[in-house]
Amino acid sequence: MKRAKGKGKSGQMRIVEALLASFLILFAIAFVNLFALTPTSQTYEAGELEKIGFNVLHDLDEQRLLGRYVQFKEWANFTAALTVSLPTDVYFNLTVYDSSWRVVNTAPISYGTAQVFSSSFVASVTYIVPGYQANYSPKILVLQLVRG
Amino acid sequence: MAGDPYDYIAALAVIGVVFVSAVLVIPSMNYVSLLQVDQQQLRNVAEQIFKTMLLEPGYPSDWGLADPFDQDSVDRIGLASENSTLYVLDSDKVQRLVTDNPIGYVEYDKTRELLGLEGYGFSLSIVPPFNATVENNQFEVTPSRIDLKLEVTVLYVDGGPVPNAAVESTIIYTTKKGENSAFYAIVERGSTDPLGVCIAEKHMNAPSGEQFSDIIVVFRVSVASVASMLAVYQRVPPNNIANINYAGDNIILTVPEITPRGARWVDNIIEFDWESFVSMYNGTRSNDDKLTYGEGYKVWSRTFRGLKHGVPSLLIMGFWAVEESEGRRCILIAGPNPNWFGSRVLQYGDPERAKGANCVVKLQRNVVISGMTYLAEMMVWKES
Repeated sequence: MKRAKGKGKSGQMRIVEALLASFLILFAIAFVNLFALTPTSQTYEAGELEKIGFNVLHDLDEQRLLGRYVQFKEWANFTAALTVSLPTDVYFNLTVYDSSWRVVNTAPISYGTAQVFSSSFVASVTYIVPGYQANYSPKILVLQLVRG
Repeated sequence: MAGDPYDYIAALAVIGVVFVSAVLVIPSMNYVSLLQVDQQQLRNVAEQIFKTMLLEPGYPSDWGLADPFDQDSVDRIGLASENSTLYVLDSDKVQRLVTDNPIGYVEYDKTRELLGLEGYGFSLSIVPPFNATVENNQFEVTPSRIDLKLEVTVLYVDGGPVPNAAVESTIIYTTKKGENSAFYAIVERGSTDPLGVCIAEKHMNAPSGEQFSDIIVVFRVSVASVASMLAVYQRVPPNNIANINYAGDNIILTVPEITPRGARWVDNIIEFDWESFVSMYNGTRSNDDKLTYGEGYKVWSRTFRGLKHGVPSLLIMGFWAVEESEGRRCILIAGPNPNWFGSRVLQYGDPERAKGANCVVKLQRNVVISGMTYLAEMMVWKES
């Protein structure tokens, strides 16, 4: 009788162990899912925004407008060009630096409040403009993008 | 001893419950993951297609130039210009995505096959990054007088007005003196107000001894010098007279299936690009410039050396033709379709088919065609 009772208890323990093991597996699966890099995740979105940002700056450069905007300090035109070229649900903030990393743009080139850019998932594109026509005067453009 | 079977039964029941709930819960958890993985895969596919379409020239690299065009001669599809920088597209290749192009186009299923997209659907449009609409407030043309007042409204894609957009209106008109016709052009410049509206107004009397025949107005709209939009206001729907197309250095006109079916003669051709317009041909009203339903006159084609290099955005053509309920006169039309209302590809592939799909990926990039910026937008979905 004693042996039988002991066997029964160890059987119950096995069931409890099995239960715990199954819960452990379920929790592990749920936990791993949290880290899955999905298309809707912010990290993935930032990659897509970087591509859009580079594409827009390259397109403006292709039309020889980037150098002109920077050389003649056409900040309002620069803002309008970015507004028209970027998708309507994308906020942007562009800063122009000289080669010593001093800010050149005297007026903001942005769309969206500063709060929008405090998010941790901001896409950032760096683009170098060598100058305008024969004038060599390198400037560094840093374009930050966030999807609204 | 008597409790043992109950223990086993209870244990079996608990294991059964755990097993059934695991069977139910794990797949549903995995389903979400699988769906997300599926979306990710779809996004990768979409990016790959976009890259192929916008950054590669395809093979043969000049596949858009073929005349006559055979879609089976295209081995690899890509819209990029040869030896150009990123996102600059070849207008001849882009034209081959305009369905119903009378000089030939690549069918949607063929493109899907070339892109290896079995099981996926896609749609592509290449449109201006903002909208410009022309509203007719006054457009009166009599033999002795022209009175026109057109309102151009420039809006962002989301409907907001674009203030300060530069609007250049080129008014082209023809006059008739006996059997002869003359061609004139006037350029006016303005900009949009805070509501995105610019008014183009012109009132004039016919030159002495001449009668006004027809008029067409081409609007070039740019925002912060980003060359982006051409819109045309014309009296006669262009496809009533001729289908205008060009491939490489050749301008090709075909007769549309429409009445009246009277003969028409090519009088003039003007080439429009973003920066200028140039008169490139004056017709003779002989059989060489005749276009009609008769055998041998259904297609009119001429080679203009350097046309491909100049990459015109638009062609304005003067025809000596008959329009319903009016006599024979000089008629001005613009082409090719759909360039004359600002777009390059209105819709390639049917986005309606995406409605039944589990997930749809939408990507967009700015592209340059003939020196002008357009928005290329692609939707990709998995077909069930």
